Amino acid sequence: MNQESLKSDDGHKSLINAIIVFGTYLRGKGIPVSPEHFNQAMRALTCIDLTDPQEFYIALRAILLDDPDQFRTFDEAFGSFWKWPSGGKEEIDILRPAGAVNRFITNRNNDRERRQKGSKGVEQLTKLSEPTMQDDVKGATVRSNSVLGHASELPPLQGKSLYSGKMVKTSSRLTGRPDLEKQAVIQRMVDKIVKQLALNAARRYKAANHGQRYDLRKTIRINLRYGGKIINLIKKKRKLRKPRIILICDVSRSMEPFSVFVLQMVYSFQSEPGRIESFIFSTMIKRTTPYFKCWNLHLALEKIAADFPYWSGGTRIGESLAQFNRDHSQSLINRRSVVVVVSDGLDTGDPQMISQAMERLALRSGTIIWLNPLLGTPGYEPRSKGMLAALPHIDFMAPVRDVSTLQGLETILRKERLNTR
Amino acid sequence: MIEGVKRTIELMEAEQYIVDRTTATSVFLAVEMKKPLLVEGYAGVGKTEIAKVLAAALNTRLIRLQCYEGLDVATTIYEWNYPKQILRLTIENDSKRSEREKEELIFSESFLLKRPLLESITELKKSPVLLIDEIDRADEEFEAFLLELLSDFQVTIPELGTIHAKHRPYVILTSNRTRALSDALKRRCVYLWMDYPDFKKELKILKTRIPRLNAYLAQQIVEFMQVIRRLPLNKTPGAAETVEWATSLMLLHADHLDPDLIVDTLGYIVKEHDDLLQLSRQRVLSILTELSKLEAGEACDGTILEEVAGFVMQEKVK
Repeated sequence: MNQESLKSDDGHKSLINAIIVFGTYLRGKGIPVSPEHFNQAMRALTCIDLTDPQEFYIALRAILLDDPDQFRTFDEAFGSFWKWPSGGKEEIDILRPAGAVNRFITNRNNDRERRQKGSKGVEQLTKLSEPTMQDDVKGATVRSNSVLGHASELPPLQGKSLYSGKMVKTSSRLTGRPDLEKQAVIQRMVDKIVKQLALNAARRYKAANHGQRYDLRKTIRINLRYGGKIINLIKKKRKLRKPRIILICDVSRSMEPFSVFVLQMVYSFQSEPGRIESFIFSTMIKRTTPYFKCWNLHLALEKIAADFPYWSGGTRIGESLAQFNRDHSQSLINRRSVVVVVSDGLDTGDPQMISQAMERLALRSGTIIWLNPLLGTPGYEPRSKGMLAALPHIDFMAPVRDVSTLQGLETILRKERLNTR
Repeated sequence: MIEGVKRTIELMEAEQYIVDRTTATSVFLAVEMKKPLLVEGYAGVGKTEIAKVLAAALNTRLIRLQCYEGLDVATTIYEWNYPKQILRLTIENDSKRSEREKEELIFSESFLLKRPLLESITELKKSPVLLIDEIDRADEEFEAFLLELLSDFQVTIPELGTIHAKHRPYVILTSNRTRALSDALKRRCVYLWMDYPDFKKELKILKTRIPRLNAYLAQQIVEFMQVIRRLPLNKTPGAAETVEWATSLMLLHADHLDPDLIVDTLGYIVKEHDDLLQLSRQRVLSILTELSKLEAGEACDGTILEEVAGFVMQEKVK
């Protein structure tokens, strides 16, 4: 295919077909390619030199992708899909892209079969009898769909473990399974908490602005009827701003009894409007925001459990927070951010690092809230080295380990007025 | 390479902007297909400059909208000049004009403050370049009405009616990737990712921007910068920092790098206290030592330097 033959109908058609297959191939690899993209790609290809592989590559990449994280996948796909002739031939072999296409089509058909079988598989899994789960597990699943579900795409189910019913193996590192009945209650609590956090931000603005601002536009409109004399002054106040909340959760061994509850809580937070991000850590930190965007809590926890293998390891709060500061704080934290750290403060790392990392974090953020599940339990005082190191930088500490303590948190937030720095 | 892309490279380099093939092709495609160009990348790699250079190359006006959270219609599209209106109303107090006439008077174009987005579609002579800088700092609501504008290029002002663009602007959006942009917006754009420059590009940038810079010093500077960028710094320096640093070194009449000189001028490349601590004199000395081993053709240790070694050697061979 060269520039000339492109102008012919056949040439055009075969190129479009090739692009569509390539785009679908990319989609199968996790890159979202829409029908609109195909159109744009064709337009772009008519502008460039088709015999120049590099130009072809750049053009396709600029149109089909929108994230550098996709580059590697794209490069591999591109390399295996498009065949370029060697020896300076003018034409590129678009009509028969590669054996890759045939393989892809075969794989796609296999995937489809597997997925059909798989959906039954998921049902089976939720029916797996566990001593702690009640018989109305099926009912709970249905309820979870209605409570949590808005139609969004199911993340691609990966890994044989899901299909063979070995899912239990990964999630058993999380002690217990998510309690879906409680999820609705948790969600309600979290709704209120987030509203409190947002209100705190708004109140701060009001208190600082002793003068009030005037809405000039409305003022003029209203006073036109008085022929130019300004009689009514219309004021305006600041809108409630959406909170920016960052949750950083300790999921190490000592936190095991609380992990599932904490993750359910995080899931609720993530469904709130505003910029909410979540992370989990034990010896290192991982961003979990994209996982919680899933409509099904089960699946979200599955994927997290599968991708984060450090559940029952030691705890390195300092190192994890330092990693967070390095990789994410610049883009995610600003003076209005509320950072919520959920941890028992029991650390096997260096307390000095905790102190340093917390200091850095405090410098950038507006408020740091520390939720300690052990707080309030008889005999516990926050005296571990880790906790002591973090204490000076914490604005507000509260217990959280179940629904009643979550309720308590909401009550406290309502009464207290968080003094942001 | 198609003529268009070649021409794009020529035009941009004529404006002192060193451009690689990917950038030139993406810019060319955006202009040719009349789509907005979304440029993402770290700070200091030259995203904003693309717009300036494009405007100069096309010999047209650059209109810039700097984004921040809370942008709204009044700050981006238009606002009525309220003080002027009030003043006029007061003057007209005793005039014989009717209420209706007064209203028409104060809601006319001379009382309209045009903000960047409106300005960009009311250019009379030719299509301007509209730079929407740091769109990731604005919020989702702004993205939504920006999208509307980008599809129709028209704006409706209740008192004046609908204003259509006589010349559609070339739109360039930049983002620092501090948050994910909406899919709808990304789909509409041609996407360009700008990474930190590689050794070859950075050297070329220095040579173009500072022609009188000592060639040996330039090479040393770029080698050093390439190593620095691979360290775990809190704020990695971009190409802009390299140019500033080189200028300062030239002003100090340096013709080669030594540890004391570097430590004294670190403030040009590293802007955070913790990063400064990381680049102690000791560290700087060891980096320089390794780099000089590289130049002498000896083996050097450290994985960072091995990486740097690879392409430095390639360049030297050329």
